[in-house]
Amino acid sequence: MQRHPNQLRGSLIWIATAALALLVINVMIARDMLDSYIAGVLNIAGINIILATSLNLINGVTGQLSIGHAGFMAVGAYTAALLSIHYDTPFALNLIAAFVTAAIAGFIIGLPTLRLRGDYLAIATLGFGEIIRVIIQNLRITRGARGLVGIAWVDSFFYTEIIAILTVLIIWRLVNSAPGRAMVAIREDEIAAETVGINTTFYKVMAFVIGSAFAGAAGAVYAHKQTFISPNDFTFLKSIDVLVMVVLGGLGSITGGIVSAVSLTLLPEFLRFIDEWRMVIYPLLLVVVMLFRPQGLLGTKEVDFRAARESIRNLALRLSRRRAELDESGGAVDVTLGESTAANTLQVVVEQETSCRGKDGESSSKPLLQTNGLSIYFGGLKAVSDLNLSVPEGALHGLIGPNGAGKTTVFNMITGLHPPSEGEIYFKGRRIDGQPPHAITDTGIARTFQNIRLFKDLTVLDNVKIAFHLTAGYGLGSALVQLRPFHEKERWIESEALRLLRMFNLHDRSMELAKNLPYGEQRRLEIARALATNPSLLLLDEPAAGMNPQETANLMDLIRRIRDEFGLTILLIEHDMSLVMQLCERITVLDYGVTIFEGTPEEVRTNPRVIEAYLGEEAV
Amino acid sequence: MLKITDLHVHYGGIHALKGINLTVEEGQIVALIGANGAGKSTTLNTICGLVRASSGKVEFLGKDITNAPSHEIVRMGLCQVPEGRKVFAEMTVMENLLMGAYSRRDRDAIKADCETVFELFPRLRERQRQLAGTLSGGEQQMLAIGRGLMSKPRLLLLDEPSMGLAPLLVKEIFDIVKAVNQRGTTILLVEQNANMALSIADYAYVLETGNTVLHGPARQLADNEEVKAAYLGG
Repeated sequence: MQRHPNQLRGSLIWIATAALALLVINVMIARDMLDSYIAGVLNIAGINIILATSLNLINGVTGQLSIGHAGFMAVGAYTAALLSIHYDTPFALNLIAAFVTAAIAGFIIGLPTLRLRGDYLAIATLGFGEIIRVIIQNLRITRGARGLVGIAWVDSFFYTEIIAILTVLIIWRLVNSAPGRAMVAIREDEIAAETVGINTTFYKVMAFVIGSAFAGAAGAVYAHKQTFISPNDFTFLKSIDVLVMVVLGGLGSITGGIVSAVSLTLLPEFLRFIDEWRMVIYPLLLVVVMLFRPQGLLGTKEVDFRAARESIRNLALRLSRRRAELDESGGAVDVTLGESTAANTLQVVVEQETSCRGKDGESSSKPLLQTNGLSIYFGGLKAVSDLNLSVPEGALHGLIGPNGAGKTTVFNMITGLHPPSEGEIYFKGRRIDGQPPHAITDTGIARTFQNIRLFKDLTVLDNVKIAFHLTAGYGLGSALVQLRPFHEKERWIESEALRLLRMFNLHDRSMELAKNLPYGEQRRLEIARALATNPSLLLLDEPAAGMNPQETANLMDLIRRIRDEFGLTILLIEHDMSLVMQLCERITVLDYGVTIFEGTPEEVRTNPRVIEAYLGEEAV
Repeated sequence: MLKITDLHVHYGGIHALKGINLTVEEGQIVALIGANGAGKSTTLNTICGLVRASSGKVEFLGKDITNAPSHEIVRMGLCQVPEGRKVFAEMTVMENLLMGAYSRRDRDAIKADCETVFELFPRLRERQRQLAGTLSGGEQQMLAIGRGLMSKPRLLLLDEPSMGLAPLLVKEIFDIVKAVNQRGTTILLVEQNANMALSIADYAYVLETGNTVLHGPARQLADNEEVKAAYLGG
C-alpha cells in the first residue's frame, strides 16, 4: 500500500496511513485476533466513511443541503442484491452496477431538484429519498417489505476498506482541483460563481451524481456484508445519521467527516455497558459537541500534512514580518500610503503580462458592445427602456445617473443575470442576450458588483484561482488521474493568480480570508478576480465606493493601466464625478431607465438636464 | 458622552486597533476619517459590541460598556447604521422602521417617531409598503438611517452614509445628518468623503493603521496640509 509514497503527494499520506491501519486490522482479523463483533463494527465504520464522504461532497463542498442519501444507498444495495441473487454475478460487477445505477438515479433526481436551494432542496431530496424506499417496498421484484435474502457473502471488510480509500481518494482529488473549486465557489456565492464563468447547474448536478454513485457503492458493500436487506435499512433516519456525521465532522471537511463517521459508529458500541441509557447519552453528547463546536469538529479545515507545513511556514513568515515591523516602527506614514505604492508595483509586473491574451475582438471598426432598444420590466415597472449603447473597442465608457436609474440593471442584462424583456445585445458582433451568465463570461465579459460579491470565506488566492476556471482547460478525468499536465496546469493557475494579485498589491494577503480585507482591498480583489476570467470587456460597478480621494486617484491609475495592458474595453458605473470625468471618454446618463444624455465629459458637465437630474448645481 | 480609552482589537493575528483614544461630547457631530483598513469601521463595531476588544475601555454616559452585548448597548441609546446599509430586504419599509424600534415598548411615541422619520425622508413615506430590497441605493441608505433613528438613540454611529450615492444625494444625506443632529442626536460619523464630513462635523479624528494620529476641531483639520494631501485629494 505504501510502496510509492512519493507518488501519493503530501495530502495523501493520510490515506496511506489509514490503509496501513486497516491492513493491520485485516491481518488481525485473519489471525483471529479480533472477534467477529469488532470486525463487524469496523466494517460498518468503513461503510459510514463512504457515505459521509460522498454526502460531504454534496452538502459540505457544494453547499447543497441534501437529506435523502439513504435512498441512493438503497438503489445501490438492491441493484447489487438482485444481480447477485438472480444472476449470481461476481461482487466486483455488482459493485460497478450499483455505482452506475445510483449515479443514474442521482442524475434523474438531481437535475430537477437542484434548481431549488436551502430548505427547499432539503425537503425535495427528503421526498425523493422516501419515494425510492416506497417504490422498493412495493415492487414485486424487490419482494416488498420482506426484503431480499440469499445475497452472496463476501469478505466485505477487505472490500469496504478498499472502496472507502478509493472514495476518499477520488473525492479528495476532485475537491482539490478546478472542478472542486467550482463546487466550493457555488457554495460560497452562486451568482458570483456564474459570473466568473462557472456553469453552476452542471457542477451542482455533477457533485450530486458523484455523491449518489458512491452512496450506491456503499449500498452494494452493505448488501454483500449483510446478505439480507430490507427497505427498513434505508429509511429517512439512515439519511439523518449520515447527515449528522457530516455536520459533526464539519461541513466541507473530508477528514472531519471520516473522524466523525468512525467515532459515531464506535461510540454507541462503547456505550453499551450503560444499556438503555445509551440512547440518552449518545444524543446528549451530540448536542454538547454542537454547542461547543457549532462549525463541526474540524470546521471546513482538513487534517492535511501539506496544510500543516504551510501553516508553519506562514507562522514563520508572520513572525519575521512582525520583527520587520518592529524594526521600522515610527515610520507609520509610509504604511498608510501603502495603497499608492500599489500602483507603482503594478507597472513592473504588468510589463510581463502579454502572453496568453488573444481573445480580442475581430474587427475594430464595429463596436465591441452594442445594445439595441434594450428594455426590461420588473412587474409593471419599466426599469430600463430603449437603451441604445455603443461601446467601441478600447473605450472607457461611463454610465451615470441617480440611484435607482437602472444602471446596475443594465450590467445585469449584459452579463445575463437579468434577461432583457426587449431588445438585443451584441458583443463582438454576436448576439449574447438570452445566454446564461457563465456562457457570457466565456465570450469575454467580466464584471464586479456594487455590493462586492467575493467568496468571503475563501482565501484571497482561492478567489482568484476559482476565476481561472474557464482557462484552466482540464476536466473531471484529468482532475482525478492527476498526471503531469494536471500539475503543470495547476502550477500555471497558481502563478498566474499570484501575478494578478501582485499587480493589485494584494500578494501579501494571498492566504487571508477575503472577508478580513478592508473594504477598498476587497474592491481591488474583485477586479483582480474579474481579470482572471480573461475578459475583453470589463464592467465595473462603483469601483470607487468606499474609497477616499487619494485612494480613488490610485484606482484611476490602476484602471487606466489594466485597460492598456490587458487591451480591455471598460464600462463603468460610478458616482464619484472626479473619477468619471477624468477617466471616461464618453458618458451615458440614465434617469428613470431612460437615456437622458450621451456625450463627452465636458458636454455632460454642462448639460442642463444632467445637472438638474443628477449633478446638482454645486458639482458644475 | 462617549469615551474610549486605549482600545485594542485583534482579528486573529492582525492587530487592527492599537490604542484608540476618542471622546464624543453630547450634541456634537464627530467625524472619523482615514484610509481603508485604518480601523474606522472596527472602532464603530467595537463600540456597539459587534467586535470584542482585547483591551481598553469604552464608556457611554459614564457606564462601562466594553464588550457588552449589542442589544443592551442599543437599549442604552447607542445605535449604529452599518456600512452597506444592511436593510431587511424582504420586509417593507414600514416593517424595517418598526424593527428599528424593536427594543421600545412605547407605542404612541414610536408612531410619532415614524412621523419624524417620514418628515426627514419624504421619499420613505411614499414607499412605506414597498419591500426594502427593491429600493434604490440612496433610498436604502435613508431607510437605514431612519431605522437607526427609530431606536431613539442618544448617540448615532454612521458608517459611510454617502457610499454609493449620486452627487445630489450625497449632499442630501449630509443635510439630513445635520438635521438629525440639530434635533438633538449626537453623531459619530465614519466617512471616506472627508471633504463633506469635515464640513459638517464639529470635531474630527484621523485614523492611521489602528492609531489616532491627529485630532482637532473639524475646521482646523480641513486646513491641515497633511490631511489635505492624504485625504482631501490635494
